[in-house]
Parts: sequence; C-alpha cells; structure tokens
Amino acid sequence: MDLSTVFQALTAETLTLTFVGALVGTLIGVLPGIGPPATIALLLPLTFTLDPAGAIIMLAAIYYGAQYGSSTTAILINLPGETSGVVTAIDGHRLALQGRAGPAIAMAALSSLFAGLATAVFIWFAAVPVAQWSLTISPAGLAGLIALGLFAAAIIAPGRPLPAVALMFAGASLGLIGTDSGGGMPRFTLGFTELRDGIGFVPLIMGLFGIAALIRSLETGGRPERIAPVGWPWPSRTDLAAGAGPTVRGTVVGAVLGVIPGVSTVTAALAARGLERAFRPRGAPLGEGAMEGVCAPEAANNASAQSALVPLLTLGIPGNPVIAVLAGALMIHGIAPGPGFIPANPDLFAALIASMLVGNIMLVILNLPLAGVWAALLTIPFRKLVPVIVVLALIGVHSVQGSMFDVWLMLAFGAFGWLLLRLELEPTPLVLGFILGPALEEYLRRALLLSRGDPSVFVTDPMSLACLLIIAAGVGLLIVRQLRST
Amino acid sequence: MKILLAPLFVCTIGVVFLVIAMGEPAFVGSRIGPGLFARIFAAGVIGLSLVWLAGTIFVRGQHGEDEQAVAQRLPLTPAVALLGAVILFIVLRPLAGLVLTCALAGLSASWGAGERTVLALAASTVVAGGIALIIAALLLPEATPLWPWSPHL
Repeated sequence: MDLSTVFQALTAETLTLTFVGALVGTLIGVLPGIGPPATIALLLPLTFTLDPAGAIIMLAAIYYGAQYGSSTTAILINLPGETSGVVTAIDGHRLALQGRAGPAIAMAALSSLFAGLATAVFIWFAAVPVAQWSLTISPAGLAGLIALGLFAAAIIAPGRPLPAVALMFAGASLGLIGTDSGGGMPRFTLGFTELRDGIGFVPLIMGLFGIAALIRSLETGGRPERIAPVGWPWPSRTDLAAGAGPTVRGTVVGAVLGVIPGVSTVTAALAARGLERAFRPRGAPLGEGAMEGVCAPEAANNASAQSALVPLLTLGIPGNPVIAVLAGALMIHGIAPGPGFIPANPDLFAALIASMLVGNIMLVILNLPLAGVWAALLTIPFRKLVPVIVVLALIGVHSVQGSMFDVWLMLAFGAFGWLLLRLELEPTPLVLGFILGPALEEYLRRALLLSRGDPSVFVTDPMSLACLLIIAAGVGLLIVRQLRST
Repeated sequence: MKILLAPLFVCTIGVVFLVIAMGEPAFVGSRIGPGLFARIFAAGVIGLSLVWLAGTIFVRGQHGEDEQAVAQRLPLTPAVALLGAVILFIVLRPLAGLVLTCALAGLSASWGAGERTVLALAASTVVAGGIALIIAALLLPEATPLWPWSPHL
C-alpha cells in the first residue's frame, strides 16, 4: 500500500465525520468533567447508522481532538479537561498568568499538529509490516502477547499493579459471560436469555465510564472562578524557535511509547517533559513558564494517542481505556481488530490514516481562531450539562437493542464502577480484561488443541516463551521494588 | 479496616465467579469445556486479591494506617441522584413514555449535580424532556412511545 491510497480515501463523508469528531473531541477536551472514554461511549449508539469506517473515523477524531482541547483548559485555568493536559498545565498556565496564553495555546496546537501528522505517517509505515508479521504468530504466541499486553497495561498504567491485574482477571471473567465459543453452551448466564450473547459493550462502558465517572466528577470536581484572557493566539519567532526541538523530541517519545500497551498519554507527556529537562541549560528549569514545557508534552500526548492504535490494529491489543472503547466499537460493527485486520480492511485503514492527517489540520483551525470561544465555554457550569449527559446515556443504551435489560446492566455497572472509584480502584483494567479475556481464552484453547492438550507448548513456542519470560522478569522487578520500599 | 475493603471486594467478585464456574464442566469428553478458563480466571482474581490483602495487612502492620485509610468524606447525593435517574427511567419508561421519563430523570440528575433552585431544576427538566423529544423525532423509530397516552405503550 502506498501513501496515495490514503488521499483516495478522502471522501466528503470522511471529511465530514472527521470534522464532527474533531469538534466534539475539542469540546470534551475543553470541558472538564467528562473524558474521551465516556464521550465515545455516549456516541457509540449514534455510530450504528454509519458504516464501520465512518464510525471508527469519527470516534478516533474525538479521541485525538480531546488531546488538543485539553491543552486550552490546562493553559487557561490549570484544570485540563482530559488527563493528558496535566503536564502541559505546569508551564502553560504559568505562561497564561504572564499574559501569554494566546502564544501558549498556539504553540500547543502547532506542536500537536506536527506530532499528529508525523505519527499518522509513522502508523502508515509501521503498522503494515507489523500486521503482516502478526499473521505468522502461532496461537500460543498470540496468547503470550495478549498476556504480556495486559500485564504491561497493568504495571505501567497509573495505580497499583496488583489490583489492576486482579481486576483484569475479573474483567476477563465478565467477558466469558455468554455462549462458549468452543461448544456453544451458555456460560455464566444465570438463566437470563439476554446474556446468551454476552454483556453488551455499550451498557458496560456507559456504566463504568459514563455514569460512574460523572458521579465521581460531581463528588470531587471544582472549577476556578478566574479565567486568564486568551489574547492574540499566534506565537513569535522566538516561541517558534524555542518550540521546534522539543516538538520533534516529544513526537518521537510519544510515538514510540504510545505503541506500548498501558502507556497513557500522561506517561508519554511526562517522559517528554523529563527528556526536555535534560536539554535545558543550567539555571533555566522548566515549570516557570517555558514554551518547551508546553510543546514537548503536547507533541508527546498527541503522538502517543495516535500510535496507541498500532497494537490495536495489528495485534488486537488495546492499551488504554479509549482504545479499548474503540476496539469495542469495531467489534460492534462486526470487525475484529487484530492479526489480519489491516490486510482484510485496507480501505478502512487508509481512511483512518487519511482522517488523522486531515483531522489534525482541522483541529488547528478549530483551536487557534476559536480559542476565545472555547474559553467562553468554560463559563458554563458543569452541573448544567449533567442532566443532558444522563439523558443521552439513557436513550443511547436503551436504543441499541430496545432492551430495558441493557439499562439494568448500565445501572449495575454504574454502581459497580462508582464503588471501584470509591475504593480508589480504576475501572480501566476491568474493561481491558473484558475485551481481551475471550480472545485470550480462544488462543489458549487453540494452542492446546494444536498441541493435543500439551501445556508445554507455551514454553516451547519462542514467542510465548519470550512473553512469559518478560512477564516473569516484570513480576520479579515489582517484588524487589515492593520489598525495598517496605 | 477501610484499606482492606478494596481487596476483599475484589476477592468477593472472584469467589462469585468461581462458584458459578464450578457449575460449568471443565471438560466435555476430551474437549475443553466452558468451565475450564472460567475457573482459571476466577481463581486468578481470588489468588491475586488474597496476595494483595496479605500485602496490605503486612504494610499496615509495618507503617500503621496509611493515607488511604483516612478516606475523604465525599457527598452521597450525586450517586443517589444519578443512579436514581437510571432507576426512574427503568420504572417509568413503560408507563409514562420517553419524554416524561427523560424529563424526570433529568430532574433527578440535575438535583444530583447540585442544582437547588426551583427555576434551575425546572429548566433542566424541560431541557431533558426536550432533548428526548428531538432525539425521538430525528433518530428513533416512529413507533417509540413518547407520551403516557401513546398507543404502543
């Protein structure tokens, strides 16, 4: 596949959906309180009327659009709408307090643009070979890769690794509810015929990331009264010169780290900021309003948001909650991301890359001249939006299958997710386990079938063995670290 | 005791899954049955949460109550009102139609979000009902019962 196929995929529909996604993404990135996973979950039912390519383009645009939008609130009010903006806020808000909010927002947008375009090209060239290679991996190797992906997601993601792994197993158990793929027997259904097709992804996500996250935002939220004036959103030559190097370095850091399951956009932004510190001259630390402290994390979070699609599209491994929701969206549309996905759906892949290229340009147009408009939106109290979000969630969940059982499920997962958050547990590992559990079971089953029930296949297969050794080394390191700290 | 709640909660989930999984056959003849991996995953939840529990007790013994034990006192109103909005939808939707149900769910959510004036609550109720009406007109099947007197209710 050459890059010209990407531009052939730029249809009027692709452009419209990308624009809608970018606009919604910016909006939710700007407004603190509801993040991309919840928004994507809310909009999932609306995408059922679209074809799979249209749905994934719009949902992906929401995801990377939110990275852009979050920088505006991070800079203006020191409260990012999306977690990735936390790192940008450190220097960005200082710049706003110095009366340079406009240039800071502009540099954040331009860094994100460079990172977005470069990463889209990176994905185009990196994903195809990885996808071809993934077709040669044995079921045992794929089981090992999924286990490694889950393990990496648990130990790298924010929070404690042990509870995260336990919740992944719980999520995997939830994923097994339905009809057993091996023998067609119902499993864990407790006699409910509605559960024969498994737990619906939409009520699960809407409960865990929608209702539970909303409750959490209301319990803990707050917004400052004063919003820094935006000013003229255009950088000076000095700003551009200061931001060029950090943008390139941030892009490389984000694109590489984003491929690793579990590396969040925040982690990538932190790593880029850490690297930038090493490049700063003595006596000029970050954190006091340096443009480098805006450009590097912004480039890194946008690059990692996009490159996180590589493990999903090539190996079927979603590394973070938003990618997990995107994976669920693809599955709902009858497309299983993983080995064989790109060779079987070259048009969809080309359209996705095309939307990334165009979407990033649209986002700069949306974010620069409209920075003042987005800032004005911050004056809308979050409590005014809550009833609207709840009604959209209710109608969305109910309309998927016209089933009140799904609303019951949303209620149950909303309460469950809220309990998890109250116990300081993140629901993300549960969702990753829910998505990957059935795939893990399938590959384990196939591997055992091919080896005639001999479990030694998992140590004789080189890929599986390598994954198991990495997991063992990771567990060993965690234990040593824990023992040292106690 | 509060810091033990989280591992105990997750362990309970594992126990529930294991009990149900034990009712499924692990093998059907020479084939792998629906219960095998279900038991393995459930056992994983229990095993890991027990290790986590033991670690928590050990750390607590070494350092006393950690900061997690000093739990923030968070308001219960948002949870009660938002989960209540979902329950209202489940209960009222078959009786009152979509618009009225969504309006009342919006009212409950608005209360949970912290609105306390009659005007603000009324406005949220109207907006929520209005959104339901617009969505029904644009996106939902014509047969969707919107009002208590709708024929399909």
